[in-house]
Amino acid sequence: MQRLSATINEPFIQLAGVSLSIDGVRYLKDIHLAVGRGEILAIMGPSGEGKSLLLKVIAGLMEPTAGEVIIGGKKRSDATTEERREQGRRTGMLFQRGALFDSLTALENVSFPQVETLGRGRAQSDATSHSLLEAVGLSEAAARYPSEISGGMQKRLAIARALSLAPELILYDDPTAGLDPITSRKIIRLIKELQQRDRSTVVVVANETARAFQVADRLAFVFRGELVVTGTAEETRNHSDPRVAKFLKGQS
Amino acid sequence: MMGGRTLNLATGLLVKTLDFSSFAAQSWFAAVRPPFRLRDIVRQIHFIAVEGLWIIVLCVCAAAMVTILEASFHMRLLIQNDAMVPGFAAMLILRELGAVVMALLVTSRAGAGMAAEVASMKITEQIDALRMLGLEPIRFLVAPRLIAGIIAGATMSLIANCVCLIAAMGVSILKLGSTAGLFMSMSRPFVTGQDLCFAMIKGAAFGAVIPLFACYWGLRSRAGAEGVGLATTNAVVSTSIAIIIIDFILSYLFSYFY
Repeated sequence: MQRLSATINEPFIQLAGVSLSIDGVRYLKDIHLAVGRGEILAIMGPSGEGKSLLLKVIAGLMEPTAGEVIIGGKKRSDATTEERREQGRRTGMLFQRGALFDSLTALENVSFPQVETLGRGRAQSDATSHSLLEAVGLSEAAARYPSEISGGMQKRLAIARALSLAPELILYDDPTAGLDPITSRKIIRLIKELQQRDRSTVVVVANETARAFQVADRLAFVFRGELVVTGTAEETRNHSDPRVAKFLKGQS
Repeated sequence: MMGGRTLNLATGLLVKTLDFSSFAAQSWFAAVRPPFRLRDIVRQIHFIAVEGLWIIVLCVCAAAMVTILEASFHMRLLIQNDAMVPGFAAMLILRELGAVVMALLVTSRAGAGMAAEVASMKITEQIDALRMLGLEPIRFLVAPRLIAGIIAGATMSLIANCVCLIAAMGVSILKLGSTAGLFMSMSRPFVTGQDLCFAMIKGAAFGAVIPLFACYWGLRSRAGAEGVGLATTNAVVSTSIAIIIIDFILSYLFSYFY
């Protein structure tokens, strides 16, 4: 893998030789990656080549078959169950399909992590949730169920839930999937604004080149489970690897 | 060729059995460890027992009435006397019919519903979302359903048996020319309070396996509508088989007390 940009001052996420195999099939191959504290990294590449799996490995939802995941200087393999749980609480994730709890209203979806994980009272959690819903522009949909709101609103609601525990690391798995260009732009702007407000570290899987360039400080390209290159928008745009060049031009 | 396939099938079955056993052990451990999610338990009892009660009552009534009619017909045919029918019917109802029919009905309704719900949560990444929040799916989803299943199973077995007996008594009065008093006095030598206790134990055991299999298959569902459908089918089939096997084991064990 070729790293183009300058060295990261304080890496918050480090992947050291991470590989992932499922049922004998190798999906991720020897990935080395570092994401700085407060940085936005976009992971790009063709569909089905391991971007979401890489995100799930970072999230701790999947265990790598080889290599090490280090979050905040702590090796995940050395962490106790309680430390892993705590790490999970400090990580917010927006899933590709939203993963909203459909039996709960928008307000309850956002309050749920605070009530269940932090043991906060209803009144306190609802106050925080209302301000989060306001931040994502969903104040008026607080009492509605996920099935009663549009796809774009569901994405915004899922972002609000991901931010519910004020995480220091936020992972977005294809946040603009299935959205129209205007809504996609709004979602990306929202991600950027919220990151600047909270100074959180963000990793976003993006399929649209324009959106990735719009949101990210650096980009990483994954092809067939291999991390090919990481660098700034300018660096990757001028990169000589034919796969990167073809992908950016929208060629297969 | 055939031998290889049989071996693969046997290995697959063994792996699944071990996987389920480990899942069941974790679920029991989570269910007995406080804090208990009372709100979820009450909601699940409502779903399993209250919402499905009228279906259970209707079906067990029909089963009891058919039993007493068939028994009467055959007794008359063979020995030209059906005086013993209420006693036999009451015994059959309490020892077998009430709990088993109830459990199979709960499996087809609540078990299928639970499996589909959990499978949908799995394929829409809601289970992953729970794990990201530090909430263990077994503790959060399975344990309340397991506790609710046990309570609902025992309670519904009691209700189903009482309803069965009343239905059987009704048919005895209307069809066999018996009276309520005669039905009671003919039943008393055959059934005791112990039978009712055993029926409740059976109900609780069946009530435990229903959510265990439903959640097991739900949590292992593959993506897509087909995956959810398959998880639901597997849950209903494996629960039904488990109920029949557990019924045999418990009946065998209880026979030492009769």
